[in-house]
Amino acid sequence: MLNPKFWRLVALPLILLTSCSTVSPDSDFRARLSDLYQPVDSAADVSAEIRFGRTVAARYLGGVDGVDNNLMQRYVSTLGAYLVQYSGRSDIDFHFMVVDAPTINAYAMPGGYIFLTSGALALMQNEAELAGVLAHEIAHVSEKHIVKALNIRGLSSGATLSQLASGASDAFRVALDQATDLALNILQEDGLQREDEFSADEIALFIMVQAGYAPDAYSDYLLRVSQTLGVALAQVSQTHPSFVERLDNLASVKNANGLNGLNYALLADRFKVFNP
Amino acid sequence: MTRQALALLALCIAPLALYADEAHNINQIVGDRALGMAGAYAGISDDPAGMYYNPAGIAYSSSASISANVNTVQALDISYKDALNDEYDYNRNSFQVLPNFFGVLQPLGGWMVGFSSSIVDSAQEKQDQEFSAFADIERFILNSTNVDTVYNIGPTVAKKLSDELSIGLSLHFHYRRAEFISNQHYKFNADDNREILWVNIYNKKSEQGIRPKLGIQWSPASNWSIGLVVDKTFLVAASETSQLSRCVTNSIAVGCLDFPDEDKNPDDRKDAEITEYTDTRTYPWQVRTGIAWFPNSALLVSADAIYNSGVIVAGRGREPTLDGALGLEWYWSPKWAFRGGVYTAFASTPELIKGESGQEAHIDIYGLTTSVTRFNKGSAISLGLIGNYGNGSAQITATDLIQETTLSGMTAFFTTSYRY
Repeated sequence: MLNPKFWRLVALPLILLTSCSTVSPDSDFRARLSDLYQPVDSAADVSAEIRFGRTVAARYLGGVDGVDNNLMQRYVSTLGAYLVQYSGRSDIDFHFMVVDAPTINAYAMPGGYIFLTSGALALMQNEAELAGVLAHEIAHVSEKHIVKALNIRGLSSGATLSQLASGASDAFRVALDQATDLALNILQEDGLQREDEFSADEIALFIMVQAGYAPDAYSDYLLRVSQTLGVALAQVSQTHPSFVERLDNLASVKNANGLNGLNYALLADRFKVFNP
Repeated sequence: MTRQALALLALCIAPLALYADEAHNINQIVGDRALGMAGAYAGISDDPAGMYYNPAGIAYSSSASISANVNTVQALDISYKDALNDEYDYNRNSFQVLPNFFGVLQPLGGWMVGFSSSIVDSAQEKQDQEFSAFADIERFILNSTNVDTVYNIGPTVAKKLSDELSIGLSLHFHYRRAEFISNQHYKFNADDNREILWVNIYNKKSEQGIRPKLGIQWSPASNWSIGLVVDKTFLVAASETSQLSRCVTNSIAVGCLDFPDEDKNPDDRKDAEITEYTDTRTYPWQVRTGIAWFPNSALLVSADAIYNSGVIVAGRGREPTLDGALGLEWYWSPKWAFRGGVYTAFASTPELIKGESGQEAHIDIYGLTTSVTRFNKGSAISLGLIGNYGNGSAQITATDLIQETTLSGMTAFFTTSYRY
């Protein structure tokens, strides 16, 4: 014979089950803050991301030329490779290129293909500013913003990135074309999510500090871009949140983390050697 | 032989439980995250530890597959006040390094399946003690080893019926293995008519059974979750063997003498005996209810109530117990989480009665847990501590003396989990 306490304990949740009005709960309420950290990608996922990024980069380069200055290209690539050390994304090889375009922008393709326009470079005054912009793009790759924005499964084929990149069938090749168009559209026209841009700005600051560059240089550059008038500004504004918002966000991050007024490197002279 | 010396002898005749005991229904707190939250987990259970606390909870696991393992370093001390000669405290201690949990989850179709291995109760006690000038004994050496482990190993399956309701079942194989060895050597005073007394005791227990555990988990409102779990261990086989060998000598005769017959009990004359039992012990029904509140992604509060029914164990009564656990989890950042909790482990034995002998210890235990977890992409590492304290009474001798008994323990644990 079971003790009355037993029945009371059994009855309590049953009473609750039947007496509470059914409210459809937020099914994600169990998600914890640590879930922001995504599971580690498999080698196949990484390989697929790289292949997809290469396709997008190739399509982009079909419409634009690289700047014909090997010294400058090597300088940007060397600086980019140095910054990548602090990105937490050691599973891919990053590639950096300055492209000949008057617009002020930079693009991060999946798989680590990063492009910086000559217009953006021309507006920079020191190496720290260049480091800030490259770190921002590296952050987009490390956080896979473009991959997430594409929502590959939302394509008509419902394919995964691995399936697309494999090109295993005509259907997947068509879907890959669709995904590539979408990626370029996001990068050049629609832009990423505002939160992704803020996140990339924040991560860029931390990469700069770890690499020894003055974080204020990044804010200085964004401010200068915002003050620059002309056709060049139109595109960068179209694909990013407003500069006022981004600068406010950067100021908050610096205040919260004690990053204001750090007397870290600017390296204006070295920058000018490679960008006369 | 004085009453106290007799008491000391009796101390070692009967194997004493030091955890791995049948006197508490809450013993090891298993799991990874659950451990830091004092086992208040029936309303959560969305990781491998859920297979132990509430099988229904694993249906809400956010990852495709998770494994976790837990390693603990446990130290426990029990002090019996004025147990020896009505004057000296007697202390016993247990120290063990115990990997007490492993579990893995895997989605399979619309189901979540898993496999876990838990050590739900364990003691590893090794005593090497020496007493001198005690009553009419010149020297007394006591060596003993007590190893007692209870394993629960087996599969779990769970189904999410909706975003609000899930059901799950664990079917664990129960296996218990216990060994107790005690060796006692007495050297009597010169004016005693005996010279040497040697006593050796060996006790072995084995149990095999099945422990089904059925659970449901339900979200009556956003940010709230309720769990209900019912389980019971059914033994299908059990055995116990005891061996007692002893010898007393004096300085005149050669070989062992007849054993002292001070209480006129004819059994005392036996020099050696082997006893075997095949009784199957009855385990209690356990009902665990829990409620968890998830106010936001950084904070979680959970509480469990655990009821165990009373049972008769080899003629000794086990009373119903109602234990509780309260746990808190707080994320300082996405990379760091802190957990803490309190729990009870009330004795299922009756209160000791004055004037009676052969009574089991009655010690109510209270525990405090805390842990810190560091998250990385796909993995987490936790470090934590459990402190427990208990106070009650015991009767460690064959007399009707009752000792005030204090228990204190400390466990450090290290856990890892991985999502892939």
